[in-house]
Amino acid sequence: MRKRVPLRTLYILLFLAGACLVRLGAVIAEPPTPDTKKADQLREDLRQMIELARDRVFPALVNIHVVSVNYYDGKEHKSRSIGSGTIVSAEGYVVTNYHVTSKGKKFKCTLSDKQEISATLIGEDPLTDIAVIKLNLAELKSPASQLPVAKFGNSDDLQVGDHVMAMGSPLALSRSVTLGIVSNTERVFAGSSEEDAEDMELEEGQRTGLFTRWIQHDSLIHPGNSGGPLVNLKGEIVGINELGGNSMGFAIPSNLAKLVADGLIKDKAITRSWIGVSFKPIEKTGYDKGVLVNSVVKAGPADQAGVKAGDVLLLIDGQSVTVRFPEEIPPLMKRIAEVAVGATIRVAYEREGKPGQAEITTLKLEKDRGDEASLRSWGITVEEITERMFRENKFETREGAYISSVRTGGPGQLAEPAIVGGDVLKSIDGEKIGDLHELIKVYEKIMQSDPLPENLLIEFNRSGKSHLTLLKPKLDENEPPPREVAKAWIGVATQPIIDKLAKKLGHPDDLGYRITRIYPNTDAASSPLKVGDIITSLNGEKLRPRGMQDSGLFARAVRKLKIDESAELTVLRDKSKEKLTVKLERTRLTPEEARRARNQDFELTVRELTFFDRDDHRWDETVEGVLVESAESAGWAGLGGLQSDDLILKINQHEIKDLKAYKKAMKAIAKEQPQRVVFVVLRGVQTRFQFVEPEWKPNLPEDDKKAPAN
Amino acid sequence: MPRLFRNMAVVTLIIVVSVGSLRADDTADYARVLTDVGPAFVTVKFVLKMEGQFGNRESEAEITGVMVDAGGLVLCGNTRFGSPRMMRSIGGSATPTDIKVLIGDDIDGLEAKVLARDSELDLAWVQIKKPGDRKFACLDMSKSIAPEVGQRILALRKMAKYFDRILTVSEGRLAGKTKKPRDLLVPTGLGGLEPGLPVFSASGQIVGIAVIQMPEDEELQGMAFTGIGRDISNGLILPTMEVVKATARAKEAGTKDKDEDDEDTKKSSGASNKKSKEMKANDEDEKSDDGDE
Repeated sequence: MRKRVPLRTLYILLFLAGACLVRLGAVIAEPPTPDTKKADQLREDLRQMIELARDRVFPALVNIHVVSVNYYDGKEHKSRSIGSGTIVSAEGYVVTNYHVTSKGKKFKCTLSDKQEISATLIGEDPLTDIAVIKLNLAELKSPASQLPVAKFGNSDDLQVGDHVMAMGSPLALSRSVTLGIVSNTERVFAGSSEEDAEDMELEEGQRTGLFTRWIQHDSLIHPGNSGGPLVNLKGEIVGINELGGNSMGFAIPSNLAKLVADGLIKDKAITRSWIGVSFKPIEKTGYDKGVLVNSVVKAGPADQAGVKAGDVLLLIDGQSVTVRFPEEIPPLMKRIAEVAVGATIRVAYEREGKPGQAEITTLKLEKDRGDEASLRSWGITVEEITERMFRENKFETREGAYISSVRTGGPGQLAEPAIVGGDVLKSIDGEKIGDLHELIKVYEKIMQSDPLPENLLIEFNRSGKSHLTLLKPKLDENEPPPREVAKAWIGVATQPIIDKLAKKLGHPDDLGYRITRIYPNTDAASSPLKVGDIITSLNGEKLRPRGMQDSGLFARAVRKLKIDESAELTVLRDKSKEKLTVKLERTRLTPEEARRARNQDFELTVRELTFFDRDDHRWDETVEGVLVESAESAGWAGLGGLQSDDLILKINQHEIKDLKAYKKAMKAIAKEQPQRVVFVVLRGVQTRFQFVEPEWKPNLPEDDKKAPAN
Repeated sequence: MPRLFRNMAVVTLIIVVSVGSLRADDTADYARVLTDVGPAFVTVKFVLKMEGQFGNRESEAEITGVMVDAGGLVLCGNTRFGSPRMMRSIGGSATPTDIKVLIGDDIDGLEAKVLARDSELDLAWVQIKKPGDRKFACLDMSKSIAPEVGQRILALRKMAKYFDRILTVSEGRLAGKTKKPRDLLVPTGLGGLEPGLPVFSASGQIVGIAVIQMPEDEELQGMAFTGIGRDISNGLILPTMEVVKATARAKEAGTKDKDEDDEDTKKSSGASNKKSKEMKANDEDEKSDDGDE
């Protein structure tokens, strides 16, 4: 249902889209149907209206590239996605969906003139799935120039059948428009026997459908359209596209979106009241007025005021209330939410045929999902305990931090007893942990201590039981891979010459190993050996391979000899045999044994260049650098276009000759913290300049210490 | 009829006596091997870090090794540390980290590192980092035997942590010998033969080390792989002399690597025998560079 586009699916969908284009070509080729002047006029009028509407909103459309961080498997994981948005003010505020920005750490927006500038998150409202980001206007080529701005229309004026256009970046294809009509103006995803409006979640653990009646339309939308505008033919935003599928789209009405966006721009958050009840239409209750109290949150405001599940509310603050259908629930929820936090709501109800009254003092409605963080050196991810989480997990208190996942092989898992996902961390070395933010402070303090404590006494709660364990914090260090024992080696590649091949070559009695390559810069290269020579014996022992299963026999026989000694080879060359003496050298370092360096800022792992890397790439000794082993796709190096197998030649002004030079260069760059780092790499046979724009973080040993701002 | 009964009784007695004496031998053999070499068996715990196209993974593992040098050198099977060849085939690499050697009832373990590995032979050597003056009980590989086909052989294995890692003995026989890809002994009937662990004769002399032998990629062409899975999974025994030679090479390689690392540091800092204060400072810079790795 979500409309963010994972990039990897794009190509498959493009293929399908290609198939559609082919079919469209066939339709166009058919002869036109007869038309009348009236039809022509209508078509022309519609075309002009569409153009007008398009031109009023299209320039304000932005394509939002998001780098998100998700927390699972005991660590953070970066990913990239794309959504849409619309500039709604000259100051650069852009309205989009919460599910586009949620978990976002970095935002890049492509404007209609193809300029790409960064944006900052202003605020998010998970309950309506609306978010606002602000363009960093200083990055514009002409900062003083006027930004194109789109205007909100009145979504209450929309009627079923009205023409609407969906604009956005379907499948990450920027600046796209589709046309359709409004199919329903008050769609809710509730009313079935299994689901109530409050059950709808776009992200796990976060309710989305409490206040919204969506505009259903048939303007084609795809993943990537999320956050993009639904536009009427006057060129006004009447909705924010949120969901789609099977030729149906669903948009948040502009009146709700504008109200929330204005609130976010003003206060960065939306404050709402909560009374702790859920409602159900009275349709099947036998009542003809009122609304059924479906459930009451234990110890919540309504519960404390004496309201019970099964009551039928008739009046709220003196005004009658009747909910016959699910579509009428969101406006009621919105009405209650809009009451000032801490105010008193007077309700009149009927319970088992008897009237009753209650005064409910509202509390602040909290978001369902809390902040998250990764404590890398402990191998765990943690989450804030929200009111909803506390209630649904039946925790005794909200104190502590929820362990959302544990890294396999990390300190949390190695502790005895091990910490597991679902535990609640209560104290560390006797210090109580009130909430996630307190935990992060304690974590930072511990991880900055030198030396690190041997063990931490962790108190945690699991299923109502209080446990103690010892956790050994550990910095994420890179240990070198084990080295192979060096053995004797002759720098040649060979293939076995078996019986049939030997016969065909005219020397049926001389089996052996034919040299297929002599590695450069080896003792073999300076020996009399030549490609095409057939080695028939080693130190007097005949070599008689029986099939391909004996391919490695010669090399194995060499490895049994001693390094730096000599071996006598009998070689068949031009049908005559000669004896050659070759020096045995050490086996060369393999890529698997090569030393590595991982840079946490750039999320980049490189390794030293080995003999076999040079041979694979046909690089001679003059080529120097370090090889990229992996670059996290959403890490700064990955976003800058560095790829596995790139050979890094230069970083900014630093020549990279080897791993040591690389580490020195990266250390200097980390100290300097430039806005842009230029990596000159050799990819295939071409050099490339890759521009990496790191987001420098506080200069701390760990880069995971800040919980997401919220 | 009475004669028949008498004959049957004699036969039964002979059977009972022979079975009884066989059981007594087994008990003595098992007890001897457990007493003589049991203390050299240790537990090696580590975290295997894997990186590659599949992302980053870590997994905690525990294997049994055998101490082969009183200075804290432990012999293990190499495959469990992440076979480089296998990892290459799936586009990744594996590095064992956080290695600990647990001796006897110890639950904390002594910090250790992989000194060297021989992927071809499927052997790896783990060295305790700070053995101090401690002398560890170790396996004497000089007292080895080359058994004949058909002879009884014994293998020791530690049970899992849940079972307090107790040592058990399993028994089999030597089923054959092969010369490809090198001299190897082929066992039969040994349940739970664990790579990297020694196999003994019934009299307690070491026969060799259990290994996994994988053909090279090109050697698997032309149907050479048919039936090889069964042969590999049954386990093979690398004769002791090969292991002794390989261990000597590993020790040498471990020393050489250390020397080379030291030499690299000296070269890059330009240090001479008489270091100036400035040069010492350079050395310290290099050390801190390495710490970034």
